[in-house]
Amino acid sequence: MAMTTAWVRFRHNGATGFGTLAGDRVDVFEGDMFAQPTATGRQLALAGLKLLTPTQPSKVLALWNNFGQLAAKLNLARPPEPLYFIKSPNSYLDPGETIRRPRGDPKLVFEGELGIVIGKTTKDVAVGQAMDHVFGYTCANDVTAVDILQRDPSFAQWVRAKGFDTFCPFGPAAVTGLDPATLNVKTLLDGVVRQDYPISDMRFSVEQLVSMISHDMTLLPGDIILCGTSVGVGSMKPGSTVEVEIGGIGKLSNRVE
Amino acid sequence: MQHWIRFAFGGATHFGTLEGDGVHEFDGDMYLAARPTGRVLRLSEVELLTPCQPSKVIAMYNNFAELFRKGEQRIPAEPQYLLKPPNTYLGHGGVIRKPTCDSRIIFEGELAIVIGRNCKDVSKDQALSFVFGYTCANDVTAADILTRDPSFPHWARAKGFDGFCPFGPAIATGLDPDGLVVRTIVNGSVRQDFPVSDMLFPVPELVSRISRDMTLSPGDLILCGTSVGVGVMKPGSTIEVEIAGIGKLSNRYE
Repeated sequence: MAMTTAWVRFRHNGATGFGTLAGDRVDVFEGDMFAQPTATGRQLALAGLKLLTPTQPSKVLALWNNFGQLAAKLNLARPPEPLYFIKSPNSYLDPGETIRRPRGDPKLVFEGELGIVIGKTTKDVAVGQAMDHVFGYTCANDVTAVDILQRDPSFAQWVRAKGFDTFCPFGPAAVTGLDPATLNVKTLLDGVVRQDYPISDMRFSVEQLVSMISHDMTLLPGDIILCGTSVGVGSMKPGSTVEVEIGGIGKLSNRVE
Repeated sequence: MQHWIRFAFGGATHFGTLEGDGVHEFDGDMYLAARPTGRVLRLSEVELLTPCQPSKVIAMYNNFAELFRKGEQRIPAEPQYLLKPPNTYLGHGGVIRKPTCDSRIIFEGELAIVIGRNCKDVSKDQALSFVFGYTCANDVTAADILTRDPSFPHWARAKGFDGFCPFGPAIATGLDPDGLVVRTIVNGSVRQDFPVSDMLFPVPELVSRISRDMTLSPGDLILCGTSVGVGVMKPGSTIEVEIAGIGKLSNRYE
């Protein structure tokens, strides 16, 4: 099995830091996580840390209609190019924090997703070079207020419905050394598995997504591309716990209020 | 009234106020408490950058009554908005590069609101106290990308190519937005000329309603939308968005 490393960002004694997670301890690093960070030799117990989102993206893009199984269910044709939208920065949420229902109590759904973490400045890269620009992978939940999405018949409110504060938890770590084609995404609601789908069912592979999107937009280290979700999307009520689990990465857990 | 700019000089980034040709350098926090350093440079000595670094730029879709005068569309009940990602930000004088996609590229001259304080759930009456000032913007759009896929309006891509959000040249504070007029001039010819007072959701409404959905941070922009007169930009053109009281944002398209 390939060597994987789980990079985490955390708060400890009022200061922010980062390092690698192994079991219940974190080896603290310094410098730039994406550019040869140096080990400090210090270790901290995970229990004493507040985990943060593993990166601070300049942008988070999210795919729509990228899984064959869901497309078949919704009767959607395969798009010739990736279709994506933007998760607004105010929506980013740390692991363990609470997803808050906006005023008006719209119905919320979970969408468990794989997040691609970019590791280098990426523009106009060929498919064959794309993987070199990927740092690793993380778990994410593309929380959506479904009623708001189609409320206005003249304008689908993608940004708003998916961009409320707290609507984009991601983490708990950014893991390097993984082969995305072998990954499976599971979403659990109050301990019950609601989604369980393979990344191999993606219409556009990781390298295709990174390459094609980089022809439109320069991607920066820390930027995240959420790969889209598959079947099993469902609603979350206040008081629930929603978890997105990807074997090899970990479990992203958040409460809903 | 002041005109705040961000600029590069001597290998570092600074900010200050612009008075005619003079750049008065400040330090501290532009939105909270800034003090002059005493250094005054000439505009020609510095490189103008975007006047702020937004965590996000929200762009209004249909927000001008003129667009609805033909009666074909229903007036929206709530602000309809999109996002311009950070790779689109471009300063005054920067070059908008033609993307490789196959599409007409259009200009959309707009007024941009610059947020000055963290705001969430602010009332209409309080909203203006959270606004730092105003600047000019061009919500450049690849029109044909938008509807290429009939099942999904590809806003993020159509409005998200590198350099597709020039804004500046400065942030003007102490202005009343109601009296402002937005003009877009392409190769010296006036193509748009519309009053900000024609907005469906005026500044306090936009800030108040959007702040109910999303926390807005200092430096965030809300582009107020464009009115009639949008058109295609051809490579080699100079596009200017001019708002009297703020200044003239000028960019080439190549």
